[in-house]
Amino acid sequence: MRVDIDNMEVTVIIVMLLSLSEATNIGDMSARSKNRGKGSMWWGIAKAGEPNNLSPLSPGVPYLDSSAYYGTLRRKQRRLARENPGLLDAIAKGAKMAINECQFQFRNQRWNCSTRNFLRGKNLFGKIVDRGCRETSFIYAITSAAVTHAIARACSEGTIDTCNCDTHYKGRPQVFANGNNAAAVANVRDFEWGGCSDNIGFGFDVSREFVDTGERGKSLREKINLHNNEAGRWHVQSQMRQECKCHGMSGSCTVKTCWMRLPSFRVIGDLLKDRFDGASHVTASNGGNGRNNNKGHSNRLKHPRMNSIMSNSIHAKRENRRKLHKYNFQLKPFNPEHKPPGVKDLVYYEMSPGFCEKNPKLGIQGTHGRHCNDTSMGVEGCDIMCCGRGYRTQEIVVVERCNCTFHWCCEVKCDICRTRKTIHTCV
Amino acid sequence: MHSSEWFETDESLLFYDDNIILEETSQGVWEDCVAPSIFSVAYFLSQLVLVNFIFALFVSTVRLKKELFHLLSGVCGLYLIYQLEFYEGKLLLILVFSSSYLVLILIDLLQKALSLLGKEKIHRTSYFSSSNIIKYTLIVILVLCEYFLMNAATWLEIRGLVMVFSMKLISLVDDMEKDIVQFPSFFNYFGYIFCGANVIFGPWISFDEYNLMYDKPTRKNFRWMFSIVRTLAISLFFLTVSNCFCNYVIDGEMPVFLQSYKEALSFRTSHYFVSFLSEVTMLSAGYKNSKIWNEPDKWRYEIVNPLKIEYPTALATVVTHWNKPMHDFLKKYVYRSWLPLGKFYAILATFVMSSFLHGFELKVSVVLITIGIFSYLQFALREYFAGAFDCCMRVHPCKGCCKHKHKREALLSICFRLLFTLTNVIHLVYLGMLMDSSTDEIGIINKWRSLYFISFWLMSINVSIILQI
Repeated sequence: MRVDIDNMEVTVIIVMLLSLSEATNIGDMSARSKNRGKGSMWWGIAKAGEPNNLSPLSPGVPYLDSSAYYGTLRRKQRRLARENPGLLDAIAKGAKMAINECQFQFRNQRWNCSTRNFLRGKNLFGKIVDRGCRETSFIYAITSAAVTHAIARACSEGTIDTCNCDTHYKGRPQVFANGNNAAAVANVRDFEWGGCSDNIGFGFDVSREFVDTGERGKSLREKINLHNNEAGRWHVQSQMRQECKCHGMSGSCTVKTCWMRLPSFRVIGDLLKDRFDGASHVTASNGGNGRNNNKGHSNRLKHPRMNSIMSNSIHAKRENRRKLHKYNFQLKPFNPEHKPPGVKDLVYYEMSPGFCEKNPKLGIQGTHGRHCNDTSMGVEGCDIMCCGRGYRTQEIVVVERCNCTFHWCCEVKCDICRTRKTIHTCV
Repeated sequence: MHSSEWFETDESLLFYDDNIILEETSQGVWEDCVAPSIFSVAYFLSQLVLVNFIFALFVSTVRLKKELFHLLSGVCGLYLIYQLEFYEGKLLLILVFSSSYLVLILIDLLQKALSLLGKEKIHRTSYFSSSNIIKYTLIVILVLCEYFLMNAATWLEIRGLVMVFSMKLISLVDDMEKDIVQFPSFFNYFGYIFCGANVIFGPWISFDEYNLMYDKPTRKNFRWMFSIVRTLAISLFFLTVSNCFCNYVIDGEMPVFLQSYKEALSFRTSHYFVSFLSEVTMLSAGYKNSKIWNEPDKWRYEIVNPLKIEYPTALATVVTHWNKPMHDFLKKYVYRSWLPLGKFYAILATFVMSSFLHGFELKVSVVLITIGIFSYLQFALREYFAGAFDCCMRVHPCKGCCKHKHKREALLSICFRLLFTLTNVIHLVYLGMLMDSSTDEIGIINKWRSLYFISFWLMSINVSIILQI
């Protein structure tokens, strides 16, 4: 309880920032037919079809106006969306979650994952994604992770008809597309004990199909994007656990109920941020070393997946057979003495640009007007954040909830407090 | 710092704030745990209710022939067994259950042979009485299954069913011996053993009670359906508590006592889930407590009383209200037959028999026998205190007019009883946490050590009071 309240202050401010930044983006939905080659156009659906970008998808409206989405999607993505009703809503939710998490993780850094420059024909995160730097790798990883997470969660909620707690995803998702509840329930029998454990598998597979679809080429750039997408998914996969419990007379096991425990997306954001800090610098592999490294890569691919699905050997078997060799390449570390990047590592091949000054060519806002902490010596400190330009100090009044108490059961009642706060902004 | 003049302008902020609270707390539990938990049993439960519901409607509308009634009842049970998600063991169950009729015949023949030999009917307390033979054979089979014959997972799956079956068989043979019931026809036996209302989750019902449905079917009405829905809702509520809310309210970083409380609570609520579920199956098949059999407006088949267990005034009440039909069974067929040897032995024998019925699994037996001894000691201490302080504080309130100086509602009595309730809560945590599946890895002693063997200390105080003063 305590922790939540401490966070709340932060979230209030973030929400304020967000609402400011996103107010400018409404209506930027039109003509993006150029730049189709980029696989990351789908990020745009985070902003599609919603007058208010902040509120989560309301449960009362099962499917949003999908035509708004379609402008940003490739053919294959559209097909997936068509075959799996409800998928697009989950992906949109995931994309939003990714943006929020990225902005949370980078709230104190010079680059704050802003999505302000969502202009015509450009990517949601701006031109920074055209480069192959650390920040780009994080964006790719977190969006792909968020999609996996959101799909898995939607599965357990039953909002994607082709995947719910009852049915296996066997590569032909349209089988149960009728969405009839009774039919879905009847398919419980097909599902061996495991409850909703396979949702993450569905999330993983669909995220692969959907997110990676644009990265078909053989260039280093695309391989890096694939690797980072994959890294994001692995982090979700490895954090997820299935828990089962037996019920029956005096501890016997007449019925078994299972449910999944997907960590909150914050956990995954934290993990990816750690990987961001230790991201591997890679370079184009020159010819010969693809051979010996292939082995290493496929081994690595095998283990985390197996560990995470260990609880159900049937799954492990199936997964191995199916998807081992899809991404059969190995990236070479820039410094030959370093280890080749693992499947969960983020990789980049270009150095990050400076984020201090406004750079329209790269779509960088600069740190002008950012908040900073005058007492901190870290990246959020005013010295580093403002790149030595100095900062302004002013006093503002923040309205927030306070003195929250938990009332049985189950609501939290809070007072509304007005707090005077001193904030520092970079000039 | 606090004032209200800014209030109106910033309402939009508060709205977003709300969303964040919702998303970070309860919603996750619903989506990740409550929904999938219910989903994963929904199909089986619907089958369970529907099959019994149709059976009940059929029985009360059409006057069936006797054989047909029993056949229908048994087929319902067979279908439900078939619906269970076991890999193995299903066929075994069906074979063993059906062939047990042969055992019944064999025993009958044996009795006839023995009585011819001895020229008189074997007395029912003798070792060779058919009820004793069947009891000990079943015990041997159960223990063999637990430890030698079957792999642990399969046995765990079918143990509940085998227990109910064993109780039915024992009670039937015992009743036959006492000439309460006649030797059953095959159909009658088949219907009783495979009765869809109680083959999966119990409860144990006596042969007479089973046949009552044919002789005098209960009147079905709107209240009947309502009671099914209500009991099902209660049952699912306990399922979600057991699976989800326990973990949600008590997370992994809280002190060890709370962790243990969580494990025990999770086990107890799982038991409530199963018990209410078995009540659902009984109700939907049209069964109800025999006391209210003729009252069409009352629909209950009481199995467990969660209030009496969550607020345990005495360990003896916990034991009684844990599983009433099973308690009745043990009282009628075990306790009474051992009573001539003395109360303590009778209680001990009951709990030993109960743990044998559980296949003598280590943790279950430890829990059962400990709770048996504890409840006896507590009973004795309260008797002693009631005399020493002249205070009405026995486990059961004094019958009629209380002759003690301090009545049941007197402060002294209330204080003592609260104290006992508190220690009982501790005992229940101490014992209940063993039932968690983590015990198999951690070990019983290690688990108890983490709570500093607190229950044993409490009980040793208890014993020393009884012995010394």
